Amino acid sequence: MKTFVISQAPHIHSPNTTAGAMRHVVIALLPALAVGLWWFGVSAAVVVASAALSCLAFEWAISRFMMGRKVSFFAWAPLVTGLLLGMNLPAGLPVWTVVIGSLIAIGIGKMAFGGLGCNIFNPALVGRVFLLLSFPALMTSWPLAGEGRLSLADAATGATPLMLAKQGMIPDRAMILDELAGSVGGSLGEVGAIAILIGLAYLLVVRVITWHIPVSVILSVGVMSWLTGGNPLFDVVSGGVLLGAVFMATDYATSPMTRRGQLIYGVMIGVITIIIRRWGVYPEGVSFAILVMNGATPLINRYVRPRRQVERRCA
Amino acid sequence: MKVYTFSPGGIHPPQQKNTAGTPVIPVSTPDTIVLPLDQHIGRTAEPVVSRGETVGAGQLIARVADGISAAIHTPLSGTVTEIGMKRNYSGIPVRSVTIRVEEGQSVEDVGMPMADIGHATAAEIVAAASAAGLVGLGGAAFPTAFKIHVPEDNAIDTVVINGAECEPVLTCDDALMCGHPGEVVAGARLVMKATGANKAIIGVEDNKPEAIAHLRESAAPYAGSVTVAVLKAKYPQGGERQLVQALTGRIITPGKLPMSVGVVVQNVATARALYRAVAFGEPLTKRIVTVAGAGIARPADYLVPVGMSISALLQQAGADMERIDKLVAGGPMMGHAIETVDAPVTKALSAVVAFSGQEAYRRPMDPCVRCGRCVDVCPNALEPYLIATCGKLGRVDDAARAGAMMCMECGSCSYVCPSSRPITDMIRVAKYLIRKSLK
Repeated sequence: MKTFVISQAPHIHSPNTTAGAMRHVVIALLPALAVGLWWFGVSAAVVVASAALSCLAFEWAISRFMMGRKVSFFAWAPLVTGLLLGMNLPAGLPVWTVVIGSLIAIGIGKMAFGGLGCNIFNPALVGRVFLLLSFPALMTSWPLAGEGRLSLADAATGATPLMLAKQGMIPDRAMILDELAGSVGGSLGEVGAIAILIGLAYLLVVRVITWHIPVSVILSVGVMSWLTGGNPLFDVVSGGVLLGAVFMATDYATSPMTRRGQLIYGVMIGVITIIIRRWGVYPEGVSFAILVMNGATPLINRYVRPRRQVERRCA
Repeated sequence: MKVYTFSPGGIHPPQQKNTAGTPVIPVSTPDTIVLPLDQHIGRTAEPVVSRGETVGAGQLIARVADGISAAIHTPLSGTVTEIGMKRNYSGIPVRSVTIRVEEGQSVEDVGMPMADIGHATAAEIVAAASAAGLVGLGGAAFPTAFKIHVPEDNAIDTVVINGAECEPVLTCDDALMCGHPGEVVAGARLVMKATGANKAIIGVEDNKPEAIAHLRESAAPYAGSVTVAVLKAKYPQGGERQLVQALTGRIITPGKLPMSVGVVVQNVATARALYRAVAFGEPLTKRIVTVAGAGIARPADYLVPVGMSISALLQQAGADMERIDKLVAGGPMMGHAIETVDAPVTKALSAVVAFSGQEAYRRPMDPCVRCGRCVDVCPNALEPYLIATCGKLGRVDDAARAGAMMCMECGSCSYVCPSSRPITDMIRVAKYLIRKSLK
């Protein structure tokens, strides 16, 4: 007698997959990556490539040998982590530093918590902040855009616009235009605001993320900047605000589940960012702000629940 | 034109309503029929025939048992050959009456001129529903007589007739609304009369423009009492809570009945069957079943006598049983997988949907990445991932606090989960554990 497959409803499934979502994130990163490589050249490519490869390798090795899981070497999630980490580092950073950052990102940031979906903090940011605290000199020597693109030799380094702002410089229009195009000092993923916004548009169109987190982060940074007497536009386009708002804060596992929770999370990231920029020791605060709010995410999930509907007889 | 819908949540699975607009095909008469005595929610009906007895088409086979129950009639005349346990399509043995069908009969819908039903009283309508063995034809199979018999202290002002048919693939209600719009409207008016409501709203999704036009034409003489409302095509628009919210703005507390907000909901096919029962004393013995999917050579809406075996129905639809790996009774979102095709069509069977190859199987499961899709789509504003996790860990109290019992198992969360996690299954486990802990 013919036997049939038996399973519980539903019997159909949406074509979307987690791997597909991660693939979309990689595609969305490409414009920003291209701009970064254009301005910083070969040395930047080396940093990004070594971060991506070592993240893949660490993910595979830890899953395979420490967690005893059967995994294929290639996966989209660690590639996203690797690319984001690489794009958050200064071009020309020694490869051994990048590899250490990747090990911390994947090993401590993600696998120590149980792997995909279980981590509390954004792995790429864990790696980046670890490097920033451990190797402050290396991590703050930002090459100047357009210098020494084709050589591996040390390019001229200089202050980023945010460092200048910290020292009391008042940002002008030319500087904001440079930020939009990407011809400023910084990590290669932070430059080129327009390229990042193209990535945001792509992610919204393919519905991998919704507007809630990026828009609330950006608006919050703008409003806080205005309230504290800064130049809102400069604060939004400079440093890691856009990259963070679009690619880091929106990480599924480390952001709240409900839309209302995501708005609170986004606004708080903006508030903390500006507080660090104005009154902290660091010129830039996006990484710290996102990590702090990652830590607050379980709390947000607990208190910001979907609104239950209560009985109502008339409209 | 105003298009009504519910919020929050909902999904848009591909509709695949390929049999829409095609004629209803009466099946050729089967040689045996098996009538299970519990095709409905409630007590098993009590047989009133004995082995060897000759029965005529439409004759009562089993009467209403005490409590909530529904009568069973034979669609065709023949001889009772057996009264005993037979497996239903889920493979569960059920007390059934087997009848060898007399030759020379045909299965068809006898067209009747519209009868005057104005004189029927509420008590007569409820009695007719009970005598005809009516059950909810949308899938739940709740005995209609009990649903339209309203307790004294519940004031009902609105009847909602459910023509949403939000499940993908299904077109049986669409075919019924296009074929018998006048009878649906008459049925709606009977439900109004029986429940004391002063208006009826027939809700139809906007992907069925023909049905809407037909119904509007039939409802035109009753402007002010019977309206046809257009619903947005969105799953689960036909869920009772969602439908009532969309059409009346009233919110039913999950787990409570629409009656609590003064509404009674009936499926379009039930409304039509109620009209036939009141007007002609016709028992419920036939229904329209959508047969479609992979390996079905002649997908269509078939007019099927209750009791005909699913394998005979599939044969008439040209099913290639070699190709078919999975069959679903009902829609692909909420239907039940069929364990055996040597089982009869029941009153509430809306469709038989076939799947082949990979689509018959689930995708392998990945870890939850906490993307929040399930929270977004839940029409009851629950957090499916949370209830599922509580269910999986056996944390009964936490699952109950997260509202597990409010879940209606529409399957939207499982459908959207990018990690293909069986969220609805895990919620079912949570609900089971909660029920067990309460005993």
